[in-house]
Amino acid sequence: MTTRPELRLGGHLAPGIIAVALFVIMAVVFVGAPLGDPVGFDDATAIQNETLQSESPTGDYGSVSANGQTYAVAYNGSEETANVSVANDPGVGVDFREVDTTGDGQSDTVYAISRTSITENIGYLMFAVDSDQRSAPGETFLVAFEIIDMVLVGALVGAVVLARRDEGGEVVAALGLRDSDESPGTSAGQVAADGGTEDGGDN
Amino acid sequence: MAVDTSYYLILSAAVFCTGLFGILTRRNALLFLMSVELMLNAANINLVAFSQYYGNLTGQVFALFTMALAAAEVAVGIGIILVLYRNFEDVDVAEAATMRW
Amino acid sequence: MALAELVAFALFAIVTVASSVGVVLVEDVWHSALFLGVALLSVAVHYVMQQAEFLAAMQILVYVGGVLILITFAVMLMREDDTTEVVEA
Repeated sequence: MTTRPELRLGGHLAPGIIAVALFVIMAVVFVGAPLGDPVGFDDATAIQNETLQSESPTGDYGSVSANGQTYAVAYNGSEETANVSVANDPGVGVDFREVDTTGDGQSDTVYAISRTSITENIGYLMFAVDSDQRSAPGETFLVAFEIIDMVLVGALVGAVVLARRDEGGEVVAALGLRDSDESPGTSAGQVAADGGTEDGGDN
Repeated sequence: MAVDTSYYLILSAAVFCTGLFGILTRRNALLFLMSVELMLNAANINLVAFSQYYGNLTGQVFALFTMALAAAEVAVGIGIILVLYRNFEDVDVAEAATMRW
Repeated sequence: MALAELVAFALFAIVTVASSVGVVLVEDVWHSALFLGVALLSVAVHYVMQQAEFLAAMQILVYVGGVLILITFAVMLMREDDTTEVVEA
């Protein structure tokens, strides 16, 4: 049978005015909240850049901050093949790219670019893996994970415990030993070996 | 480039208040459960919105935990509602006013 | 780009809020469950728009694949064998 949804309106909706009032209050607060632009997870663009300090022709040096760490950077200032060498190896989670921002043909800014995906970072944070591939800030959640693990086991046990019923004063659980299997009272599906003739065969 | 965080906050407030509206106005235990799901989802929207606002992954990880707990809560809640339905022949939350012991 | 994103957000926000209101306002519990499915799926879209792709996948797997199926089971176990009358008091 197919039915179309019908609204259930009436006087019972009166207590809902509290919820509507709460929404109005929340909306007023949120509209007036001084929130700027979201930072976001820019894993394809620069996280942070810092203009290199030296203007010397032999080589520039400077520092780049990425993922809460500061890396010392030095690179030779040739135009085409300016390659960035990083003093303390940041691991494979961060890439460096030099960009010419002033338009004089010289690379003057180093961008640090995260190469680790958000999903990968979630895994590192959730299991508190101290990986150098981690590239997004966040807290680790190993203890919370274990606690919720236990709660889920409790929920499973609770669901199994709830799934039982009274059968003539005796509690029958969904899981567990059922010694009443051998009793003749519940043997409706049992096949009598003698064809059921001895009992009359009419039960 | 991204949508303003306050828009997501308003969306989350709307969903949350809808869930609250359902809990306040309906008497069906199953609708209670669905309304609680709506409110948990509103909280998750908030967590993800602020996760993006601060560029910090803590909110997303926490939203994952919320989801796991919501799933467990629904599993137990539905067990309770089925027992309620068997004992009281109804899922009206106002009917179940007595316990066995 | 920003305008397109805003339009997409508004569209899916309308879907989310409308189906949430549908959950609490419709007469039949089964219709409520279907509206809840729409609401949960549209929340997953909002997650994708906020760079939380993994969370969106988990939303669909856990909520639509788990919670909604459980609720569907409960609704169908509790529906009275009827033609017009519904369980809702």
